Amino acid sequence: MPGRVVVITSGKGGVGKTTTTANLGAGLALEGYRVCLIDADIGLRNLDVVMGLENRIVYDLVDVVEGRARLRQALIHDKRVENLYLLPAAQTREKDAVNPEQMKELTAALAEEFDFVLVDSPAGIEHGFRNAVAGADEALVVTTPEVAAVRDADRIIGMLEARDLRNPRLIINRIRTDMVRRGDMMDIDDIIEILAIELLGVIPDDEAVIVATNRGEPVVLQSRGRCAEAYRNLVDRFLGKDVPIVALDGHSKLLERLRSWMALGRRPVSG
Amino acid sequence: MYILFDQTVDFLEALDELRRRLEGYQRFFEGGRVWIDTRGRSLSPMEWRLVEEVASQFGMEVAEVGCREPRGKRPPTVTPLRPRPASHPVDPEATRLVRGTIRSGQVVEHRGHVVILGDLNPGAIVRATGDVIVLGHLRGVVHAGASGNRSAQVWALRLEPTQLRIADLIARSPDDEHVPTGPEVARIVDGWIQVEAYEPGAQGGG
Repeated sequence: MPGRVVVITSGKGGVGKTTTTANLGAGLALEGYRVCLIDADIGLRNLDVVMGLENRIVYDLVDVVEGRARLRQALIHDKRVENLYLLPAAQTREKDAVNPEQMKELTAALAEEFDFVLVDSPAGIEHGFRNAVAGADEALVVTTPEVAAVRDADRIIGMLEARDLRNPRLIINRIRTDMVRRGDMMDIDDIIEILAIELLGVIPDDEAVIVATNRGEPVVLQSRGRCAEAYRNLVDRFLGKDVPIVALDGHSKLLERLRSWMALGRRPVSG
Repeated sequence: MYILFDQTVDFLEALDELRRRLEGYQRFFEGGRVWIDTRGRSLSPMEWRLVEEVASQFGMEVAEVGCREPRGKRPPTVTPLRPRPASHPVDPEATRLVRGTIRSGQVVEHRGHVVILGDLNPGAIVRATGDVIVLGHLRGVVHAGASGNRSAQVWALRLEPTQLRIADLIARSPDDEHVPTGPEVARIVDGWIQVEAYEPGAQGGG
């Protein structure tokens, strides 16, 4: 049975698609699954840097598509985690160097070899986005608790649905519970009420992520820390385990509200 | 709302069915008007009376009667407001029903009324020549009566539009936070778009 091809997308830039892809991928690989990450942000390479694999790149996605390299030659094995591979983007080419048909072929070929193929989508809704979603079986939408990010996420969800990527799931990144409690930040309920899709995970805003990202090691690999825990929680939920969304700081009331919302969200919205 | 009477069905049966359906909507149609198309069947004065009774029972008014064939003579007990010519059949597509949330960047355009069973999110647009009804949270942009119909109205369970347009008028939501507590309706009063709480039965319909 071929693996699942999952696109990680957001519309807005800078909300944490790449960090989410790296951590979800590393987390799944730690669980023993064979995982391949694809950096679909052609022209702006990021994922290899976040993974700390920049210096190992010889061939990239465009080389594979244009036949200069075999798929196996271009795949980079992660230096820490067994079963984790990266197909890097080309830095010197434009987004239109690849078309959606080629992406479909590529992801289909990778899905034969891997349990999960995670596609890190570029920001925006143009050519790069169309490439990233071309071969996907399902989609994860990343947003931050900001009005503009939520607006773009809404737009993206509409576009995913139009492409028959039904029921995308939501990851809320960089939430600050102290600000939410003061009423200075959109809370989870506000976001879910607008987007009306299933919530897969909530990642707190934490310096540890920035530090880890700059060092080129996904924070999920750390043994402790609330962000590592939040990402592991995300991985569990992604794998279908029935675990509650991680308590951000023991604020149980929030969790209760969240659960009731999830129950509401399961009711079919359209008939 | 349009009511089509099928010639092949017994009149009283059809009327019972109509009553059953309307009961399912409770007071939703209150204040609305009914257009009746008899599809060529001629109704007796008694039958007309019964139809009117059912309509008024649910707070509606019989506004217009259309017959496909000229032999459907209207009895003198009925005074339709604007009789539809026989050569002009009722358009069953006049209202478009949209299920689900309309998201940012999506546009719904329709010649006639639009009913949305879901939310209209910020950044989404609905443009209709008739009324717009949102059975959900209206946060986007709505243009009702887009071809210039100033009697068009906009209804929503939660009316918090980014911008509201009716015919040639534009209104934006007030800058201070207005949080609606219940269903509201927007319409043109004295040349201004006004929003007020929706009170069943109090509206003029349209």
